[in-house]
Amino acid sequence: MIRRPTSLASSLAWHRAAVTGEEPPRHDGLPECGWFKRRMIKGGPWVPVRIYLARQIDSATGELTEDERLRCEVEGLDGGDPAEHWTYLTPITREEFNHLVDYRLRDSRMLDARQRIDLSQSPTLPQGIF
Amino acid sequence: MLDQTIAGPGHNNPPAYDPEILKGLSETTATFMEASQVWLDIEAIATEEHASQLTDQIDGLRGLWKKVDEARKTAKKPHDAAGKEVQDAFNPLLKKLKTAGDKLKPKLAAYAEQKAREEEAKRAEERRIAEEQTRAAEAAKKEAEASGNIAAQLDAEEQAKAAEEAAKRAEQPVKTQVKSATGAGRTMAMRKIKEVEIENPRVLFFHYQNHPDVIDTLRRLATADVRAKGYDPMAKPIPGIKVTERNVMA
Repeated sequence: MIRRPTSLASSLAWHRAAVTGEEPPRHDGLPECGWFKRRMIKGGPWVPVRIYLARQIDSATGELTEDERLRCEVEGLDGGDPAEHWTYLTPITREEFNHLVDYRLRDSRMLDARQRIDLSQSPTLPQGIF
Repeated sequence: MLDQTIAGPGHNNPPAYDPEILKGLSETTATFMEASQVWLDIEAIATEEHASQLTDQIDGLRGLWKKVDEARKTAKKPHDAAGKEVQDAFNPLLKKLKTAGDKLKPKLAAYAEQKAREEEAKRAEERRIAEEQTRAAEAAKKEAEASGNIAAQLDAEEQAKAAEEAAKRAEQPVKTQVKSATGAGRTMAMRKIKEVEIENPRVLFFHYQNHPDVIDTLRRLATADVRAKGYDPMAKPIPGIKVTERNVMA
């Protein structure tokens, strides 16, 4: 039996539909690939989450050597089972995802995902203006 | 060991709030003001990132405003409670005194009115006498001139002068003052005050239609109606207004 890897277009179809406002059906416990953001606590900063297919492909045949598995990356680290995050995820574009990854490093208030942000504690300055 | 610090002026009259809390909030406010100035110096927001950062800054300002207001309320609360206690202690006395004074005033007013009526009657009598004297003086003058008697002429002139003075006295306004018995109290008098009763609101409105206060009131009423849920300009139009929509950040 030929075990072909899922195509990128197919694995990201749900995400594409979601970010273009098509509101595809969303089922608990059945995560989809794509780029997302979530908050770890109420009032906390946005955290980037990526769900992807983890797979092993035989370079000679181009076939899968084992079953594809959905994995997720939270704050750039292994996030475990994506189904645990799925309910809390907001789909975002890849550009927004990249910006969020970058911006978290530029705003120290966002570094601790489990710390509520109090915007009244310190002012927010326009970055890049000197 | 005793504290050797010399007590300065005002040492036993601390401020009505916690200066440490105010200092902390003042410092935070100062940093927010500086940051706001940086934002204000930017000619226009051009990027999504700046827009989202400015949203955070505005939200931060709003949050800090709430914190400061909360601190103000907390600092003011004991004073409010103390103020209420003072009000509760003194107001009943004030109310009693005011009510007693208000109830006594009509009695004095009745007396002053009666006195004024009597004075007025007295003045009327004096006017009548003065008129009689004037007529008699004029008659005496004519008679003296006709007779050529100088003494009689002088007497007639004196008589005319006396009549004139009596007329002047009779024309003096009637006083309704009631003076203090001891001299220490305030002299009270009947005063005329003007009061308005509206007979025709429409005519009155036309008279005041350009008054700024009237225009403000009309704008307030119309704005409330236009912003009210379910307002339908087609079904129930409000005449004389133009509704425009303006985008505001909220």
